[in-house]
Amino acid sequence: MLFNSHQFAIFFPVVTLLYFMLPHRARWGLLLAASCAFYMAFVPAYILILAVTIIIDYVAAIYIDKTSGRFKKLWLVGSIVSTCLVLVVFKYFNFINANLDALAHFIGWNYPVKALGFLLPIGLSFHTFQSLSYVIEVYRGHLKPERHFGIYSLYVMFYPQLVAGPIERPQNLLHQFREPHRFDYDRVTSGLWLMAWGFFKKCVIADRLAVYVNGIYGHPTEFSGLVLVLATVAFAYQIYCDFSGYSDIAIGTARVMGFKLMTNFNRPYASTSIAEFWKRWHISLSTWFRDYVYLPLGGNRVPRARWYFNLLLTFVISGLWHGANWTFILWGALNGFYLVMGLVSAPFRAMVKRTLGMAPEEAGSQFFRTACTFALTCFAWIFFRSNTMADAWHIVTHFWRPSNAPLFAVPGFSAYDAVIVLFAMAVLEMGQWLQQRGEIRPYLRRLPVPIRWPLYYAFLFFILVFGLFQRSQFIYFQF
Amino acid sequence: MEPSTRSSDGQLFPTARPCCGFRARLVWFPLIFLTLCWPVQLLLIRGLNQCEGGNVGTLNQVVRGSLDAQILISGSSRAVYHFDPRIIERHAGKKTFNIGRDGTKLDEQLALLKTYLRHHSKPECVIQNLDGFSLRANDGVTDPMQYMGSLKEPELYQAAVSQRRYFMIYRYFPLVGFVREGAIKPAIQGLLGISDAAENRFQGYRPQNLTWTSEFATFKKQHASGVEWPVDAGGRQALQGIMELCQKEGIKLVLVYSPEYIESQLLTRNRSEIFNAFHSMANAFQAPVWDYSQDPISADKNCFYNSQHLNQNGASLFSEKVGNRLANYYYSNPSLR
Repeated sequence: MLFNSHQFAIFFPVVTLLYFMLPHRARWGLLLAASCAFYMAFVPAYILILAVTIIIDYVAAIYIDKTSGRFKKLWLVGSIVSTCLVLVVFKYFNFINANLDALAHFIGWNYPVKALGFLLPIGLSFHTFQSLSYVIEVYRGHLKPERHFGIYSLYVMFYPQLVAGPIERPQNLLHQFREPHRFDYDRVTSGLWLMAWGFFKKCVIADRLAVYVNGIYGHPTEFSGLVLVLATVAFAYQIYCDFSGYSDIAIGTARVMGFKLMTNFNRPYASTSIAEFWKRWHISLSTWFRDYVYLPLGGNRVPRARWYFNLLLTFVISGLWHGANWTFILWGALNGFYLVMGLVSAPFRAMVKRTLGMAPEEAGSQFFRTACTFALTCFAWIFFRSNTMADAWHIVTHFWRPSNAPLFAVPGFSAYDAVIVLFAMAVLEMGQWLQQRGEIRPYLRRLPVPIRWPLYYAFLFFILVFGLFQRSQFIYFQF
Repeated sequence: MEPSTRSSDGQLFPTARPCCGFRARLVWFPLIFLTLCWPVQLLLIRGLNQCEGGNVGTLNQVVRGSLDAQILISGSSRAVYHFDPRIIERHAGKKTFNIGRDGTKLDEQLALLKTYLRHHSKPECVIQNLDGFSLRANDGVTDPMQYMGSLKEPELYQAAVSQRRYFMIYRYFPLVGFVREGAIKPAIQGLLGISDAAENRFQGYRPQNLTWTSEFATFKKQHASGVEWPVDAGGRQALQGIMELCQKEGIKLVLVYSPEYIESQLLTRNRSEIFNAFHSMANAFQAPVWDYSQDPISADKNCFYNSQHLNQNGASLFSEKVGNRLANYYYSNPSLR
């Protein structure tokens, strides 16, 4: 079920109402049933894959806790391998197969293995990673295994974050299912407000920008110059609003029921370096890779060359996590390369700044660094968004060439859409800026109802009237 | 004590004293919101009704009741793109209008014809364009957005709700249909008087300034062994409904099968079954069937942009032919003179 569907408009109030009406002991059952219904709205049969992952990791965690030494490790490895196997079969098999086929063709061998005709189960990478973090935390002794199968299943399947995160850690989420949550007016309204903000990002900005971006990136070879630059910047905002919008709706939905999910985005495009960007973008995934890939590889407590390798490898894996395509791998590698180059060039950049007498906190310097970071990020997004490597190559080699093509020559995207999206982006930036200076809600709550409610209504009508609700999927669902 | 709220940095802000308890606020807030949805919906309906282009523009002109055509052309996209009323008008000397709409099936066309008759004086002649798949029963509403501003028109509403029950929700719950079917953008454009030049129509006719595309090659590749269009009871019933309506109102009906690219005709395996059905139904109502599928235009690729649709050049040639034939038809039918 999509958050921006009419089904969810019925599903959410009904589940929330039932949740608060039921006694605490029955709530997990309701949430689990609701989560199953939510997931089965996509492809019902795929819940069986989820069930297999849940059972394997549930049993494995108990045995990891029970056993010690070699057996403990064996259970961990078995659990990780079997969970990842599901991911490999459904997500990476066709990619590996296509590459082997191309290689065999190149050598002149006959390659008989056919591609699988599966659809990628929605959000597979998300719940796989959430399951993995559970068994690893149990293995590390940070957590006792959850004996209640229903509660554990709910940890993996909790519907607000089931299909696109945030990827929660068991220490943060599991115990919350055992805590009784009372109806709290302030918390409920704060959750609803966050959901509205998420819908604003998704339906007004991301989906409207998608029309323009898809029009250009669908046939990039027909364009060059400023159109490609504009489409890439538009995609940067589209993916941010799409994914952070989803996260806001997920966190808001959970908050209404009393659950606290981790923050996933923190104004990433305001970052002054790529390293900072990755502390602000998809935080739940970045920290996952930090804790379960980068640090076990040795992190930065290794010789410098190995440190750089660790960074690169972590980002290549992160790229591969996003999608089974060379474009994603290159996107990950490029981000790793940025980080390594940032470390290598740090002394040189410090020297330049000293020579020019630039203070790091100076507004001009901050702006320059933010602009450079945004430009580098946008350059990397070219690979992320391109359908093929050939498309990406065309964009990279043509975006600086002059072009006479009109900027908005995309069917379905008119000056009307451009005005709406620019206004909405201004509202977004202003909202985020105000949020950074202090929460908006306390300020709003100081206003009397005759002023405050019309503001709320205006915002809601703005979303309804200027949003697109044609049930477009969230970008990160495909991962 | 003054109620207060704590911000993330720990600062305390005085909160406006609530006018009522949270339960009352939980009831009042959505209630006021739902109430406000009605005037917003009315405003959007007004905007949609002011649209001039596309299917919705044609529908609006029919509902406004200011057309009063003597010759009325009805059909789907093949009617919209093939019949230029300006040319037909020149030949037949009669006020002509094209009420064809993209993607519509016969039952929707019948509903629009009924709506037309309720808002206008009856035309002398109706040209009903036919397609290879005309007799296939309708299985949905192709362009639901166009109806959002006209759900109070009983015939149009009935045709839509009989296909999709949720049109009932669209009619009685404000904004749902507008939001779900993407009707807000055209409604606002209508309110602002912005029109999409690509959607412009001339007396309902939309010229296609295009050359042959690869669409047919793709279609042929996908359906190498040909296709079979169903001849369903639902499709027959809709065509019969049009014929009965015209008979009842004393309107001359001409069924026209406008040009279809010759190669595409070979791909329709049950072509004879479809045409037999057209002829037998037309005979029962003594309506002529003008078949242009064997006309030289159908063999000329330059007149088409895909297998089913004529381009502007082809449409002009075809309209000349229909106009001439219609003038003769008028001359030979004393009741029409």
